[in-house]
Amino acid sequence: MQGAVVPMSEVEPGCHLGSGCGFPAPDASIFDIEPYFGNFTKPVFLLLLGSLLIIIFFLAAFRRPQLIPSKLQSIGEMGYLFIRDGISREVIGKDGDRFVPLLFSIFFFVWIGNLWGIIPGAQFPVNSRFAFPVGLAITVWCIYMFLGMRHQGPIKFFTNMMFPPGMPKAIYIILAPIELISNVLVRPVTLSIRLFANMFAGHLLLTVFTVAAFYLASPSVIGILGSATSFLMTVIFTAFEALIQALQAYIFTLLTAVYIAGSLHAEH
Amino acid sequence: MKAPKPTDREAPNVAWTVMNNLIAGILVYGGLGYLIGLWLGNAPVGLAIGTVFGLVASTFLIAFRLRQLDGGPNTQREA
Repeated sequence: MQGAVVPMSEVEPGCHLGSGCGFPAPDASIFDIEPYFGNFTKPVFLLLLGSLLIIIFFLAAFRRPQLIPSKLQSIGEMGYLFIRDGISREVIGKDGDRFVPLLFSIFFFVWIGNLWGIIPGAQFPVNSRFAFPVGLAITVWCIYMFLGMRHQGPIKFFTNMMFPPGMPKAIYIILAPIELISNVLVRPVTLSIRLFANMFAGHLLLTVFTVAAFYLASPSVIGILGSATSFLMTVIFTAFEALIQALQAYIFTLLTAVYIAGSLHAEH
Repeated sequence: MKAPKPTDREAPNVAWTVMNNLIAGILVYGGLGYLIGLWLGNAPVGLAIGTVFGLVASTFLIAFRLRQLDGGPNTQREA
């Protein structure tokens, strides 16, 4: 583990990595992975592999759809219905059905990208590299801006956004810029940062406990207790991460649907 | 066209809209205050006043929004 070495005097007797060494605290450098070749790094590889796996899975699930679905087809349909009924129809309504493929792709793309964080061997959440959530957020931004301008008119879209009905007239001057900046600028920023920060923090947390479990393992009471506790925490946080990863993918998709819905119908 | 009714599933949306509005308020009026402060020769004071004003303004906006969403004149609270 490269990066800052923080001496921890309490655990000095249980120092695992040679005598006198401090606890090798993981820092942001664990996210800097040497590229395999050129600019082809591990996250890029995992992303491509993940996309391929999704494609293969759903091709296999829906290749020969049957009235009485096979196991694989049932799982695929569950995923589809979750996005269509749980997100699209709930948020956008019936005319949101044409966005189901988009939402479906976003959800599974984000989820598999996150899921790599706890898959043994891979253990790197793709979305903890900021560029990936940013790319996704820019895509979403382009979609809802375009849809809004097409469905509400290029100028009406912004005026609807800036002047929600039912407000005292004088207040508009103060609040309209906030609405505009909030919807046009801040939305994609928070959308990407939320996903990135969750994955970044989760990976860092898992690394800290994994390193601690390894580092503390030594023939002493503190070492054994600490190592066992750290290992237990690693397991607990891995389960916790699994939840967060699915949740973040869900929130990303849900907010995409909400933004699309906001572009389709002006506020009342 | 009729917008879908707010449901429990919109709760995260409301939460994040609140955050977006707060950030936007600080950005807009903090920035404006900073520029005015720069013009008047005391940028930090302008930034501070602008930020506080932005926070107040976006809080007002959020309160207005939430009142509209829940408990406004045409909601079915009693139902």
